[in-house]
Amino acid sequence: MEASDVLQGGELPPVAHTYRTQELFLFSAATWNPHRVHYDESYAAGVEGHDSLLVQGPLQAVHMFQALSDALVEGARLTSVRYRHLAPLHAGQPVVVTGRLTDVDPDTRSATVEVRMEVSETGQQTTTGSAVVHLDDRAGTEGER
Amino acid sequence: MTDEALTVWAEQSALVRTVVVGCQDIARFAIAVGATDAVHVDPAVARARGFADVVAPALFYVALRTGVFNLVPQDALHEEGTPLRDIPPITFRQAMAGETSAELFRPFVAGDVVTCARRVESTARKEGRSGTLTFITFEYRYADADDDPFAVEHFTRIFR
Repeated sequence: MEASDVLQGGELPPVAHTYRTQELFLFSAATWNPHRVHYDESYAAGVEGHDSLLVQGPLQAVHMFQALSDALVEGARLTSVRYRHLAPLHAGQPVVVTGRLTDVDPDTRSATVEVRMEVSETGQQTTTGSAVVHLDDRAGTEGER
Repeated sequence: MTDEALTVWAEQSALVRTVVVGCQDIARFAIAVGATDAVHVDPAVARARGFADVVAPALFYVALRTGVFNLVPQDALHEEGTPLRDIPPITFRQAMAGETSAELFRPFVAGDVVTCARRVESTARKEGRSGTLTFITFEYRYADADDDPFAVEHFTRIFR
């Protein structure tokens, strides 16, 4: 197996999702995140001017790279990630995660995959990023699978 | 507020905390992010895959970043929720997440003793369309007792 094979077809199949308020609460609780924009709608709207509760940036990042991890071939793993948030995402807005292979380094058995999350209806990107994926030394060798 | 005051604040922002990652921490995070692999919640499955105990999802470090460093008394939180000590000495209307990068060396496993070290890497102020933007970049390093890292994160917050 080569590094170019880490993602079948070089594309991350689209993964759709809509964040519910319970999900925002659970993530804030699991990460001990007291920021009010994620659970206090009157604060989010009245003080910070958001349309609704704000989806945590790290939660979007986790989902982007989780979608990628789920699509990787056996023996491939994320070794670094990079991401930035481009626009607010609110609870209840349907989003889709997509990605594609953009670079391969045969010497290090690694590949770079760009990923993005965007609002399904408008195409507005909310979070974009990339990951470096490495193939384990034994991945794809005879008898390993 | 002067740049000097910002520099002094940055220099005083370093923190180190050591925690034990628990199976409940991992299970709560996995459930919160919808990670359904049994390796996150079932020790038998984890052991069958060669781990000592349940394994956290890849980006579990985000739970340590806030879960460790946000543990302050409630009266030490800003109105918007950020610990007061994490807010630079500036006037701002909104705090936003900027760019993040992280190197992922190995997964967190229940029972791991993790030393979490935070410092301010850099500060910068820029004029934007909506006024002055202040960029604070933190480095978070998560390592074991031998300083062998699990993950190293660089996280920027933007205040405007």
